[in-house]
Amino acid sequence: MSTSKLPADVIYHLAHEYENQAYTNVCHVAGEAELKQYYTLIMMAIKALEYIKGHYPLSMEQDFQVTVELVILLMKETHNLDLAESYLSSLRERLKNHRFTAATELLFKESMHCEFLSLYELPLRRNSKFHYQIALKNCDKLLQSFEDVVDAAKGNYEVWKSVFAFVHVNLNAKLGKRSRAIAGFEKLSSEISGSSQWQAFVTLCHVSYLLSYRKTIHISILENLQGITIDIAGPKLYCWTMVLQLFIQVYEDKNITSNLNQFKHFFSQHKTSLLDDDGSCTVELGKGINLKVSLPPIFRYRDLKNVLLLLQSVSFLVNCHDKKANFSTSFLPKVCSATRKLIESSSDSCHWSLSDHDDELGSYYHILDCAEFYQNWETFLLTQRLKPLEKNNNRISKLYSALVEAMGEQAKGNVSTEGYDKIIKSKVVNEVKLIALVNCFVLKASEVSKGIGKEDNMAYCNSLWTQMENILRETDLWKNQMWGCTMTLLWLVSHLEPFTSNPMPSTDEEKSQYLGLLRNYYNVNKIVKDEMQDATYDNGALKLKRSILLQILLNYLGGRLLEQDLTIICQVSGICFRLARQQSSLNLQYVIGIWHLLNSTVAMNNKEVTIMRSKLSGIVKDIVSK
Amino acid sequence: MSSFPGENTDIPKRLLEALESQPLNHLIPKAGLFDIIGTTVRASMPSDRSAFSTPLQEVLNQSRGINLDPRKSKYVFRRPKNNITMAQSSSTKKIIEDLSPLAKECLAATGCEVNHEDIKFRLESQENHNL
Repeated sequence: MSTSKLPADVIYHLAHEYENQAYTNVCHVAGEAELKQYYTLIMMAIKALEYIKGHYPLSMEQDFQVTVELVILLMKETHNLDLAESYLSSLRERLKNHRFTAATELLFKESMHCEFLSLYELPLRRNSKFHYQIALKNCDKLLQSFEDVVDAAKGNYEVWKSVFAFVHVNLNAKLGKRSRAIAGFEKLSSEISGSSQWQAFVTLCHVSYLLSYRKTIHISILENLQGITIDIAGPKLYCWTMVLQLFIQVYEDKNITSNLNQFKHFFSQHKTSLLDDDGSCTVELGKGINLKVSLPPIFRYRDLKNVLLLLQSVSFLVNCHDKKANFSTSFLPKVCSATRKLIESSSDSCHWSLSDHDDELGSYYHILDCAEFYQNWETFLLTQRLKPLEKNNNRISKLYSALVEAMGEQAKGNVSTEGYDKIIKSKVVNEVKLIALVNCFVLKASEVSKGIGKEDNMAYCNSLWTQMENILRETDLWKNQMWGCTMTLLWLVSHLEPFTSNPMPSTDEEKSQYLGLLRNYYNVNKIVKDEMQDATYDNGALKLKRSILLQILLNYLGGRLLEQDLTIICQVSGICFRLARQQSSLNLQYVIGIWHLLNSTVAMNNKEVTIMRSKLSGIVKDIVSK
Repeated sequence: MSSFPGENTDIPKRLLEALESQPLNHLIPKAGLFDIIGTTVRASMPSDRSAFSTPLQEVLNQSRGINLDPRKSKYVFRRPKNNITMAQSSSTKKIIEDLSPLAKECLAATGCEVNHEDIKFRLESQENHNL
């Protein structure tokens, strides 16, 4: 055989051989030398495909196949995206010309594939505002052209139309046009065509988008999510559904036991469908139209288990003081060690590109950062000490360094609000801003109580309060009862005499509104239960996580404002004091202790009075010597 | 009550003032948590590879390769962001060793190599309008 005339099939095979060789060796790429070898192989694969295009007469089908593979290689492995784009647009022209002579279904599908690459995959790789905008414009045009098609060959057109409506939503999301993206998702969900698996996929993307921006998920969308079954979606998308449902519970600080049981049940039957592969699954949109969806953290058992462990830790974090429920204490170190193992073994068995591998490592490092962050917060809950975050460029440190520093300073007794003020004025995510606002409010309201800069600080407190209410409304946090209860308590302690020396002005209406809220929270969460209780109140909606601090505050207020019976009041103050002793804030111990001393004195419990006097003297000594 | 411990000190007697040095740490922040899955969803369209036939093994065993690119085109490859020093560098495996004879020959005949400066985090021209 003459060397210059290797058949196209052989060259095509070579391209794949180079690519395969590179992908099976991703795990050996440990340094610059291997990196060069890896890319030499990729380069050979690219050149082989280009060679085929330049040297052989190809059928339209072959042309399509070679060009698309070439474009994908260039997108994944190189920065030569303009080159990829020019290959794509000339392919699009050739397909168009071809369709004049033979308008087959296959050609139509190939054109649509081409559009998908240039409107979705390529802009995502470029990740620039400029290119997203161009793609959005072109996507608009394409969607318009679907409208113009008079019902010929309707079935397929409708499915493709919903594919590009989906692309359109994603481009808006990437451009940061959130309300448009959300509206787009809603429209798409209501008029989507195609298989029910495709509808499930769109719902999952929709809910994921809302969750990632902490937006309220409306009941109709929640119903769509709940409607996703394993039969409709297949095991992998079903896992994604369960993970999102778990996230919703965690975000609302609700009990996750039934979610965990659901996973347990699922694993007992379907674990094998999540065995280690490349973490992707195929979604069938309609006849012959498929999407490959890649989501390794959820679609692979070993990764999913680790993600679940992290979410459990976060959910149980406020319980870390409780020896019977301090799961975070044992789970977080497990998350760290499991993630390190995953990093070490990552790609061992896999067959994929270095950029996929790189993304995977990135997501593992993020999990590690999260686990470390929550370990730090756990120490904060247990000891009142919050270690500043290491200054590096990761997502966690970008989100939280300023907040952690401000809270750490406050815990050390620094009452300046400078740190919080900076966060409030800067552009940060809503949740971080809200936490800064709420702590800043306490500091300022406390100055009001002490009579420092009363007028100014009161005005400032009012503006902080308005901002807090706005953010709560804007996000999903209004559904979180830990926040709801905290807001109620803060309003009362800053507006009612026993808790502040200078109550801020309020109407009787407001007072009775907040007292009503307090009564609801208190009845469900009080630490001294009366016998006939529970039946009416234990509906779970207002049930709070057993945070020590929140229990003390809620029961202190409830005990002072709502309880009448002296025996019960004494019990409440006694338990509150014991809880406060577990918190290291001496000032809080003192205030609660004085209350219990007072109650014990009124109840003429001389033994308790003697004990409390001596304990309080000790606390006073500790505070003075500090 | 005649007197109580700390009565004449400036230790705060009101709950609000006692909260001054007690940050509300029961509000566990969860921003960033969703990124463990949120940033990684990716959809693509699989294509079937059926337009070419598989060549015979003996063709691949031949050792006379051709130059696939006389023009010697250059590309700029993506440098991984996360350091890839997990595997032991000592096991420097020649990852191109297991290629078929023909693939090796073509590689040699094409005579191209990727250099350090061809692998970049990003192009300079991308700096301006990247999100």
